[in-house]
Amino acid sequence: MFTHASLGAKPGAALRTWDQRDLRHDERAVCDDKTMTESHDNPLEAYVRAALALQGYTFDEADIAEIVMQFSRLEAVARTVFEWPLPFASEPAPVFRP
Amino acid sequence: MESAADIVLQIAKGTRSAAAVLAECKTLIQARDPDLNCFTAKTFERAEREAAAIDALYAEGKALPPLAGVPYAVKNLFDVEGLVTLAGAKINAGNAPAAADAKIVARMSRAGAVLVGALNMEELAYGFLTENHHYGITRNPRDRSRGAGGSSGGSAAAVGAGMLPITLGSDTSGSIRVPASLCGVFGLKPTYGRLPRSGTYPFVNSLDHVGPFANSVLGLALAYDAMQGPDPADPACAQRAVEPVGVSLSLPRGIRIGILGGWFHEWADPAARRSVQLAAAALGASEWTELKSAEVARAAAYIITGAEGGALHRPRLIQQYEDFGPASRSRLVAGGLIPASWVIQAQRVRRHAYSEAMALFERFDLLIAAAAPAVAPRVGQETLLINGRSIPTKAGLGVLTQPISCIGLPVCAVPVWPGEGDSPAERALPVGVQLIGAPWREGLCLAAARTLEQAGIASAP
Repeated sequence: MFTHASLGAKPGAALRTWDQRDLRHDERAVCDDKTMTESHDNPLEAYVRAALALQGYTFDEADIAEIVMQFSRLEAVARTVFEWPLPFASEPAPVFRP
Repeated sequence: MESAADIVLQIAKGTRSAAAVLAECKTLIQARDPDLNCFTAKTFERAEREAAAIDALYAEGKALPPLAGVPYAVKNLFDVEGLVTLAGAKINAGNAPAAADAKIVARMSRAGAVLVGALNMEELAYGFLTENHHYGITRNPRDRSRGAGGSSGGSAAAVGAGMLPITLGSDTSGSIRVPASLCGVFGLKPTYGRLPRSGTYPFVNSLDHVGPFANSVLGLALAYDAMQGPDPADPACAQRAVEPVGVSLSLPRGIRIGILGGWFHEWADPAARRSVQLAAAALGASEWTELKSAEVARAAAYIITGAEGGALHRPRLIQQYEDFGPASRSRLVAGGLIPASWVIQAQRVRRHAYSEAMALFERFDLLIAAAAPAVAPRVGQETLLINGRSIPTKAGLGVLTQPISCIGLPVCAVPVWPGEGDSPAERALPVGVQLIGAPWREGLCLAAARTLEQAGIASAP
């Protein structure tokens, strides 16, 4: 059984607020990127732009459009995976064996 | 070219030398490869040394190893000492040559096989075609206007063209079974973890398998036995003792065989369905069954593949994006953005699908399904039309193999010639059949394949 403590959070500990003052340099760059705010109507595109920036990628708009298209295919496939009913306790396959 | 078993016998009897077999093989490669583009490197000097060593053993009257003098080649993601391991990618072309052979290449050498070269593949093993942006298209030996399939296209086409009796390839989602099906040769994807992958260029560690192609079932069995055994260098390799299948492959009496319907029937066109029907009839199978989680298992494999492949190549994608082929780079980057929650859910689905398959194996010993949804597509063909539904060729060719490799089951792909199609050219093409076993039951898959071969249903002419 997972508990609040077993997941690593200390009871009462302050969580990050995502306030501008708390942001690291790279995170602030994402927030300052105008294309991010302009793509807020398309959450998938906004996610891709943010994730690309956080992972250290820089691409031109044509490449980003291609990556958004590829990611949208993955998202459609992922929906199949999420819609499949699974018992709460089902085990993820990769078991680490030291 | 003759089968591996015939070559071994001829050399053991002294009716032919390993050097003579190699000379014939080189002639065939030089004559046929320019049309097909199977090879990316030839290792003829090494082959001559290995063949001479076999002939010396024979001359000294010593016992010969099990693959003595059998020529073979490997997909270019296997390390071969002195060759750069390309994995079909330009980004690897500047790497240092491999310092040693991959584990299973070393085991093939120890078994007396003679390595003649490295073979073309889809870039980084990502896709079911071998239309490689950097190293060219590998064409189908049964019809040069069509592709060989992939990602181990060079491995399947080299056997299909009669250049070699055995080659090695890898299979993450169907990359042995799909090209074997399209090129009309036998292929074995063993249980996940059965054969060691150390010294191979990875793609998706939690799904990557390695295995042989051959022009006969005995050839597959000989190669498989030579490559078995634990290997601590590959964390996924099962620490199991060698369980040789041998060459006396016979199907036990009373074997229970189920024909996979549902997803596997819906995504098989009339030619693929006819192949299954022919194989089922020859094996005495008539009961249909279903793996209900096939579609979601395929989806899970797709997510895991995207995430692991994207993460693996991220540093090179950042530094050398333009050096990746246009068909793979944006897919790899997109895969690297997949959230962890998707991957974890996909792994849970994988476990669920595995449990469902294990329940099926309480009722059946073996399952049958088509290995590809249709005959080989034409080079450049962008979509497949399967029973009125259109699907992109690059991903769609794996629609029937992906659910099975997702859960690591052993499969022997056998070449069946259904004689169905809209044109005489299509009616002359094969569609393979998957003979799917429970984990670690490769011997049963191979025995069923041998039964079909002996019945004349499966053949790799």
